[in-house]
Amino acid sequence: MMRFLYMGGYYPWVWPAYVVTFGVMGLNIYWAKRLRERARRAARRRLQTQEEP
Amino acid sequence: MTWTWFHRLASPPHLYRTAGRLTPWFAWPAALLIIAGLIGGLWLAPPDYQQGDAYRIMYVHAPSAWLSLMVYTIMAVAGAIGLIWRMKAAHALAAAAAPIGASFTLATLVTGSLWGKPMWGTYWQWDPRLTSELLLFFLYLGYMGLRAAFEDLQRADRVSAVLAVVGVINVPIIHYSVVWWNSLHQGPSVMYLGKPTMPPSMLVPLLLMFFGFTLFFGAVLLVRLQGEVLNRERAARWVEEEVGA
Amino acid sequence: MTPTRRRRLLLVIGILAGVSIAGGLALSAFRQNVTFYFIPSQVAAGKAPVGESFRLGGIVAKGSVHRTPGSMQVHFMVTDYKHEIPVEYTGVLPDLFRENSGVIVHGKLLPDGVFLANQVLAKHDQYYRPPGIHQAWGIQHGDPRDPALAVSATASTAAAHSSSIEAATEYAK
Repeated sequence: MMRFLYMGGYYPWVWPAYVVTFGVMGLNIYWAKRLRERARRAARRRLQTQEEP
Repeated sequence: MTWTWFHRLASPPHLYRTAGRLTPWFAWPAALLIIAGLIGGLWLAPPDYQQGDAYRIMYVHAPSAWLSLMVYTIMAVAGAIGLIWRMKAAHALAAAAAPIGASFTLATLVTGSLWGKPMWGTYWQWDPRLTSELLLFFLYLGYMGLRAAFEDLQRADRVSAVLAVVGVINVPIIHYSVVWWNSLHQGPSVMYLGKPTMPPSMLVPLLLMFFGFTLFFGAVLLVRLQGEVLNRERAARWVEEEVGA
Repeated sequence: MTPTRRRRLLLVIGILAGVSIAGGLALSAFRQNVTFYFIPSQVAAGKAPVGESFRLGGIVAKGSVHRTPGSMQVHFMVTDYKHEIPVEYTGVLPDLFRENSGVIVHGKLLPDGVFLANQVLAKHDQYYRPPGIHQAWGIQHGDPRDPALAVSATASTAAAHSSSIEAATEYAK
């Protein structure tokens, strides 16, 4: 296991590269869901303001 | 040829529902392929005879680079369709794709830099490949900035689509930069059809990652597209059905 | 397609064609004037800038690497199998720096013909394979489409490169 994490001595480059890439992927998921959620909330608000008067 | 499917897809409620239905069909295979690619690339594949384990950065760098080019091309095609047919759905798709493409372009630049330091001996060089990829990042930023600068959505759609279409000539430039000019960057490994540049034990995980990343983009794009479509709809009955106010 | 759509289609195609032609012209000018590095034959032909810093790319000649004991100084020959240029450098070398492998050095050509480098970059190729396997997934250099391959070589014999080097020198002319 330690040998795996050591990556033949290239661990300072290999692991940050993977962290950056999967960080970007995680952020993409988060941003996409947030965008959709905000759009839904805004749509609901619009519908409510239309009904009231 | 009938165009009904095309117009049907362009109708916002249909697009919104189709996108929602399709998302898991992209997301789950993407997760499986990427996990398989990770196991193959990090664990099962042998180290390279020259680069040792450092070459494993390729398994995240190359698929990110592929996405950075593919997403821009999709944006340009969608932008052109939006301009020619005044199709709102196409503009929505381009707008949804841009931030994903931009983030993977940044990932390409950062992982490339992390690969370049131990192998080449430098984080950055103003090399044709590296410079044209950086230009791509700025094109994405310009596209998103341009969209944000316009109050009027229709105008934002049209102006940004022109930038997407014009900027697409950078895509072949990036791909062929290592062929046309002397470059620090090596040639393409996978895009040269018919000439294997690595054994299957190294190539298979890379291909899994390519497909996984592409499907991941599809899943994220569909979710964003739902948001974009909803934001463009004012007071339609289907929205009420969907969001259940 | 309605006439308006046809007009818009033509407009989009027109803009793209215009930009492509302009870009193509700019690139072909670029191709002649801007090179990331020069190969030894180009330097020998006087194509490299005189008295200014530039990058020199080539193969580290076999058996040419000499380190000065007790210092970080290193001497080696950069070759394209037609011409050789001696390089002097003091500093840390990248991991992939080795004989018979591609290298790009940045620095100045001194009047005595020695290239004094202030930066040494190693260049690798797009071929990957496990250690110990040399034939099965062997290097296929000499692709004339890729002059950059001329210095990305990692094979053990000069003969293997001759075709790609020729391609590179063709390209250089």
